[in-house]
Amino acid sequence: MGIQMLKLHWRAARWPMLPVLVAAFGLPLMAGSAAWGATYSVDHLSASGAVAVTDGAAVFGLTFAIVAAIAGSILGISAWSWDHRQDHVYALSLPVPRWKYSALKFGGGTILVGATTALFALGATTSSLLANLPAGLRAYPGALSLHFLIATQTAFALLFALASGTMRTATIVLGCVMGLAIFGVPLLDFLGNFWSPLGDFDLVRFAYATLVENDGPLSIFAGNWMLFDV
Amino acid sequence: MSDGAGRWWSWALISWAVLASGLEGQVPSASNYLLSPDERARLEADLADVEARLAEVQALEFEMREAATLRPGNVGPDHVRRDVGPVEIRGPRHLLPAAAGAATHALGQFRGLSDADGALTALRIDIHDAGEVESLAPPYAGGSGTAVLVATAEDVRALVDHAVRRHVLEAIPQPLVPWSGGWGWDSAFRPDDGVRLMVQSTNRDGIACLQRRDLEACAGYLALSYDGSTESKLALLEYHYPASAFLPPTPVSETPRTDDLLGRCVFEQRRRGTPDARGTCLADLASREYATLGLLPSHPSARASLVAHALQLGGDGALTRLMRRPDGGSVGAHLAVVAGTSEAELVRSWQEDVSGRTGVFRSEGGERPGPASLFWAGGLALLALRSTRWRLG
Repeated sequence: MGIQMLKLHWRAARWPMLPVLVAAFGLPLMAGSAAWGATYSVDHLSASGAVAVTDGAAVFGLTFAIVAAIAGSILGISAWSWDHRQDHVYALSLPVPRWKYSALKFGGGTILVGATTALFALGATTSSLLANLPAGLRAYPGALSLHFLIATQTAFALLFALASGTMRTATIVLGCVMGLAIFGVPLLDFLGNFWSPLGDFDLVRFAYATLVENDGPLSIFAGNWMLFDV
Repeated sequence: MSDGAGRWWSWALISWAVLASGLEGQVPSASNYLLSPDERARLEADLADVEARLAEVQALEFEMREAATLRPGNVGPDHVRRDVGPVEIRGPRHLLPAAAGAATHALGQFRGLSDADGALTALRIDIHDAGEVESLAPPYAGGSGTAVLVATAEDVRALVDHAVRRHVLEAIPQPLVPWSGGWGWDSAFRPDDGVRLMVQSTNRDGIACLQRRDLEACAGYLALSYDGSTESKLALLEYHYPASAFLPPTPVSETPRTDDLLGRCVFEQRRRGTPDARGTCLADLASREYATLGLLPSHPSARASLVAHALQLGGDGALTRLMRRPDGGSVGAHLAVVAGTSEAELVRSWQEDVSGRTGVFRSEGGERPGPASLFWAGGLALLALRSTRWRLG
């Protein structure tokens, strides 16, 4: 049954995942392309090469986090798309408890997350092997792939949890988040005219501190995503 | 009434209004009959004088009130005292726990400061609640040994932290702190930035130090001979900016960048026809500490990495030992005391740690996701399995 659910999940996710998989393999290669075939010597000052490599790694590092978030989100949402389409009738007719059904779906999604990460790791390792790095710089394909795995899995689990309810649930939760993101600050400014503490409340800072800083749920998407670093 | 008569009345009323308004300014008002022009001028002058005096009195009153409130040692009726090592904090009861916590944290962050009571002179911090003090003064850290802060519950931690850090750094013999940019002394410092800048450095000594492991080049790159004197500054500038670099065919650029202090100075001196433009500029820049340190090829964070390394080598009480040493001497000699070893051995061990990313140089690039990330990934998975519990519809 697990295999069947994995196949079903892949069929639902394959088209949106295709460009993501290409990016997961290709972006690490592009990040290292500046260092391929580069030559350095002490007398000829290798520093400019080091700047190019670290700058490239920093820029592409941002895209790795985005690819991880997109991959996890697609896999999380697509896990339940068939159930939503058929109003959960098939799932309810199965002689398995809800938690087991969800666990099977989650396990299938985790395998797809692992496959995406494997592709990313392949690209990162190939890029690292091809790169001729100046002294002082190192490649971190293993650590970065682990980072990518956890980030993708976090995004997958978050969206999987959200999508496992009804469409109404997802709409309400996402609507609240979007509403807060768009109207939160102006609304607090307006309410601050009546009660000043509300006006002083920094919603953006609070959200960032809660979600990203202090080991928040999205903290994995921050931090160092550089394939080549000191 | 016919249209013609109506139009006539309208014109008459408008004409009367225009004439009346034109005459109004020419007819003396009743008030003007009470004062002669001289009296009026005198009164106006007196009024201006009174206004100026009132402003003076108000400013004086404001200064007196501020001085009475914010003078070091002046405490409010509800102020309580809390001692944290050598730091004595007095302030409103509701701000004191956060202030004491910040002082404890700040002292604990300094590597090798194990005996703060013995090494540091006392610091007194007087805190005033910003909501109760009528002051336009910014949060203020006073002279040596005292600090007066105007704080809110939100910024009291940051202000106390700053005051304590500043006090500790003031106790470190010169010229170590300006040389390291004030970094490297506490555990919040990450040496990775220093290494990253070192890798990217175009300086010949920096590259030789990193790639050939040339220890003399390391000492030159880090400017270990710096002792704060004008002579040592000039010697360092002469070393890093040799005359050959300023001879044709590599003259100073026609349009030096604004941040290129030396380039702009040489450019100006050459334009004025000064015979030894480079020497004149080096001598001038060597008289200013921040100009000299800014011209060194190593970034302060690279130099600060040697401080962090020395403190780790020195272990418990390293910073305390340094504080008991008088000012003077080269930074290399000072840091050797901190590390409890010779200067050559300190540079060798620093170079090894930089190359091997050991000691304080744990690489940021290979940082593994922390347990919190795994916790969230697992927690969200569990939430997904139990998702029916939080359905909204």
